[in-house]
Amino acid sequence: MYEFFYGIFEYIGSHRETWLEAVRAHFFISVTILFASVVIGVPTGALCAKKPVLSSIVINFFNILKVIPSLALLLLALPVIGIGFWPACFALMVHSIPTILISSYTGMRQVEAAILESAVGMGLSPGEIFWKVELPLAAPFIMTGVRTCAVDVIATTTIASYIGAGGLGELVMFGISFMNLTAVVTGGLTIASLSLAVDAAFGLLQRRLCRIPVE
Amino acid sequence: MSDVVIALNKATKRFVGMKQNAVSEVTLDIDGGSFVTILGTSGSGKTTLLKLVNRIHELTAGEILFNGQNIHELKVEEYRKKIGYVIQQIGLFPHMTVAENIAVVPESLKWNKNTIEERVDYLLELVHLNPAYYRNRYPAQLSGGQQQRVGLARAMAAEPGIMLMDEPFGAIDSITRKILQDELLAIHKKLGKTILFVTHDIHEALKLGGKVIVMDDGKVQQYDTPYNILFRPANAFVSRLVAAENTLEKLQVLRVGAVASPARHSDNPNIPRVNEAETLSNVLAKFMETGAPYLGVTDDSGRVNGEVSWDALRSVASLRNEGMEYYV
Ligand SMILES: Nc1ncnc2c1ncn2[C@@H]1O[C@H](COP(=O)(O)OP(=O)(O)OP(=O)(O)O)[C@@H](O)[C@H]1O
Ligand SMILES: [Mg+2]
Repeated sequence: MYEFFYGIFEYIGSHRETWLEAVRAHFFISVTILFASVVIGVPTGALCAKKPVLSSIVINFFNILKVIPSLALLLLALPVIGIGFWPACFALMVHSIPTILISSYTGMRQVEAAILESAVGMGLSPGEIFWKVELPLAAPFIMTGVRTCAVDVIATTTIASYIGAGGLGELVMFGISFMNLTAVVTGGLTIASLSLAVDAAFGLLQRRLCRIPVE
Repeated sequence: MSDVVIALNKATKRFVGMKQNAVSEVTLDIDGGSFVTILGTSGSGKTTLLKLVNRIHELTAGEILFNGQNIHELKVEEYRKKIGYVIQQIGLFPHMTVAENIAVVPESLKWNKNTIEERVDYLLELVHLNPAYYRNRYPAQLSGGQQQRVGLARAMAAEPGIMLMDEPFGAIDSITRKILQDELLAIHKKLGKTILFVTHDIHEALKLGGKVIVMDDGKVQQYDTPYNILFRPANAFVSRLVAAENTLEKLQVLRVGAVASPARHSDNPNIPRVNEAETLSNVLAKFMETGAPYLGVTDDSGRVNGEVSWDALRSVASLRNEGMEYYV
């Protein structure tokens, strides 16, 4: 057991530059995907919550896309969008946007009618109602969606390496091709640690932001 | 003070897809500073009428004037800020403290920070919540009655001239409700705001209202003083509505003013006195306690400006409900 972990540390030590570069690339792809998903998913979800017709179209559209596994999507998309960083981000966002969109939609929908009625009745503008009332009340739901999504994205970014976007997936792929178990495990464990760290970070952030006492 | 602040002229609302009007050709004037209650059974159009006034619903036909101006010509959000709105479900913002809730409209109006702070404290004291204790609490940490007090304070935050209240005490236990009713009357007396108050509780409507709008089927059945609603019902519907009220209940909602006559014995310093705003049940108690044949009626400064006699009080009990003939 000890030797096993020693092997991993040794591997990292001897391939420091490559490992760091892979972590950096992995993190960068994940952050880009997450950021873009929030920027697209939150407003779209919020808009869907206000427009029932739009919501059924948009949500069904993403549900259909979501049925296709990420890897299949990556490979299907390959001839159309090519290889590299942006194609990888694009293909993975098909899965990450719906998570955030639906959590933002749900968050907006659960705001009580009476709360909105008083907000309208007291003469707040739609903008004020969105920023001061709806968004803060939807925030716990959105945050949960973002947190789930972040962990997902870090895991799925692994397969981005298949279309040459780099990241820790390369380490795993390399290990598989050359029957190098240490490389596979090092890649896998690094991804797992990254997920756990991101999950914990979002957990803290969530506790900070959502200060509504329940009782 | 008694200028008309809200005038409805054949105000009509029909919701899309409905066969009937929810509110049908309502024409009436609300005087500035008056406390008007809207009474009616479920579905009679009380809420719709109230929401037409602050434009949550838009009229199908007719017009509503606010200080002589058609409300459709006013900027809707500016207009609504001049009107306080309180609903049964209260609708406090759960993510904001009590103080933040009250400050929403003043902040939206860009009031100065100190002015807002002072205003919040003033309003909390007005609704009998100690600012030191309650400012920084969240709505979930308050009882239903306390939440409704905050709702009332929030609605009054930007000094609206008019308050619209839709069954604000409907979900509150009867003891607390009575306390809140009395406090609301006191606030109305102190600030002189125009209040339009919806209720389906006849007792509440007669007790609070200087005038009562009785609604049925989207139409106004009678718009009159509690005394006239009780003793001069305009039609069979109103007559049936008030028939269930017995003498004691009538005494509980009617006020001294309804039976007082000009002072003839004001030179006598020994006569027991009652305030003109007292209910007749308190007058009855005073008669029973003192055995006096008449009581002096005083205004708030303590000056005697009328009197009420035992016979005048008894007339309430013996007054025939002139609407009885509708019932056969
Ligand atoms: N948004 C709406 N869309 C369609 N119909 C409505 C709407 N709101 C109210 N109505 C209808 O209008 C009529 C009057 O409703 P309203 O809510 O004004 O009654 P109410 O007197 O306030 O009753 P309650 O005492 O139960 O609150 C009812 O028949 C109701 O079904
Ligand atoms: Mg109603």
